[in-house]
Amino acid sequence: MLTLAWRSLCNRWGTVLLATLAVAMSVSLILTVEKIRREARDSFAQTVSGTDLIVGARSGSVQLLLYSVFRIGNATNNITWETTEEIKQRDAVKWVIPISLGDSHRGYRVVGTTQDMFTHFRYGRDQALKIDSGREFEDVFDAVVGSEVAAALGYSIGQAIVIGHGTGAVSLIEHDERPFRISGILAPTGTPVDKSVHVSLEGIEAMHVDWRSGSRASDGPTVESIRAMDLTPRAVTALMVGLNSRAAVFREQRSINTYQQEPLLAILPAVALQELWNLLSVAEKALFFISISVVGAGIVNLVSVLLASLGERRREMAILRATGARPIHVFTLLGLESTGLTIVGVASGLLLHYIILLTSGWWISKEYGLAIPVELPEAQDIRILAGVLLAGVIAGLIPALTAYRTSLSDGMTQRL
Amino acid sequence: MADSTTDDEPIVQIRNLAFSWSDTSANVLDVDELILNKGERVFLRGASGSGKTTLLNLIAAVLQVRTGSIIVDGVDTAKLPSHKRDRFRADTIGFIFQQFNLLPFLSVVENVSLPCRFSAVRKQRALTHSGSINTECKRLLEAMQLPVDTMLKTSVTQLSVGQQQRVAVARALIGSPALIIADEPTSALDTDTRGAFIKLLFAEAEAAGSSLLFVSHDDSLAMHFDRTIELANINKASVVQSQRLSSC
Repeated sequence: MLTLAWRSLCNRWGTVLLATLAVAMSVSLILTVEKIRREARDSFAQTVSGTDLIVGARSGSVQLLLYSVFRIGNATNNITWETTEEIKQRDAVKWVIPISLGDSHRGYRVVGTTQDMFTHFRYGRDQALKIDSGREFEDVFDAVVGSEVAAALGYSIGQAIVIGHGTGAVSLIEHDERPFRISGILAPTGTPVDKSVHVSLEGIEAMHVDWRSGSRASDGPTVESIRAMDLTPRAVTALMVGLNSRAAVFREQRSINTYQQEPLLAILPAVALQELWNLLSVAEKALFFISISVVGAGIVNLVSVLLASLGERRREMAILRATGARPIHVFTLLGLESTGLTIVGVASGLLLHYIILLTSGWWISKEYGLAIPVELPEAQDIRILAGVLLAGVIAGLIPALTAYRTSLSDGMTQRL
Repeated sequence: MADSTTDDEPIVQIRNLAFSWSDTSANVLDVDELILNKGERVFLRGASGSGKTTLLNLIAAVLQVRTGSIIVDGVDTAKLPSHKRDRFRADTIGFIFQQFNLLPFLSVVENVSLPCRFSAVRKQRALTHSGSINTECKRLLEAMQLPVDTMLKTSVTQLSVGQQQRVAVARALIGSPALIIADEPTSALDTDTRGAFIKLLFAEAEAAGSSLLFVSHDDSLAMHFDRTIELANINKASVVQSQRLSSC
């Protein structure tokens, strides 16, 4: 039976190959989408890692996460520098990265921070920010740009940029008399850091010297005179806090949340990230649903190819029947064919999936900072593969049954 | 013409057969008696749509007999369960179609040996005769005056229609089935080759000890046969169902 099925297949290899290819492609699509989805989820959950608490003015936890980590939206209020200093002094606190937001550069957010950003900030699997070229900011007017900013705007080290007030893509008011100079470009991280322009907190203060309530007061002071000023920040937007011991995290959180001097909110980034991801899970599910549909289409295509071929194969069936093949033989022949094709389709889909990972993984990593490790299929992948296989075999019974029935009614007759 | 030996028991015995496609439709076939003796070569003549193919399907037990009886090689096929009927057919009957007898994706020898895949009885007989299926295939092909050595390498689709029909005869004969049913096997051949084809078919059917039921509408062939049965004369069903014409 196997040889018969195989020889018959070889006789129709063109259409059969295409149908199998469709199954293979849909299988590799769903595997790859699943893989990227998983990696994206992991990467998302690790947009911030190693930070125990994020502190901001009292608002919602997702809102605080959105503006402090994802640079979406605005803070309702600031944290005073005195409070920042106080938190920094606490025994349980190991390090604090202050963040000052509110300005932008051609649509990209400007983040005022300290050198601690480069020493303590972690993302992914305990990865620190890496300077791709140049160096960290040292001067008041130095800026370190994220990889995407540099790539999109074609920036290089030493270039002067103007930072605008407000956060729109087109700033009407620009701090153009005090241009910043790009001192460093960061390596891609796959996090919002790529889309940020980092300057020192002093830089942020310097930008706003002599500005009152968002409008410029006559002729401002010169760059030289600004450097001479005391540029200690009056307030920051949020703090990323690292503790000496993770065990202290809830105590510190409660202590910050009940801070008497000003209303503050401390969140656990991992928890808040999880909350936010759950908000996005609709898109995730939609993606999965689309992949499933594509696999369904692949199987329907395979079955329709097999069904369509039955018309041409009635003669073949009649000959087989005439030479003694029983209807069950015909059924087995067709069943073997669809099962075999599904297996080949699923196997080559898996192969294709790995080829895609191997060939384009570096590109995804380079472009999106999303590391796609090549690993053995996970339990989820195996469930998907088994599901596709099962669906293919069950769907393959349709042509087999049809052939079984026609071979019963056609018998020896060669109906053409 | 060598007369074949006739046993007492006929190879095909039809009595009081009536057949219709459904309970409500009129009978397509209504045959009181039709008997084929063992070793006999019978020419069954009938126009298109006269119920020839239906009769063949009934004899081959593809269609279920509801009224009357058909006994083939001593077996009342209507009483067999369907899987046994299939096995019985594979063991007992060799088929030759009008044309397109061969599976294009199999070699000539594979085509000829096809019945041995499905019938252990015929496989055993072929082995007894020649020692191996392959040898038996070649022997039959040679007997059909086919250039075996050159043909083994060519695809069956490259054979001429006449050669294809002779390969089909070799296939029908392998494992010496008791009955050969040939459904207009010569209609695709030209007049010159028909006679030669029939002579070969006769000789080998006789060598295999198979009876032959040869169906055609071509009167000119009747003279070669032991006996001619005019289907119109024995079939009392008057209604000719035109929609069944599609088969041949």
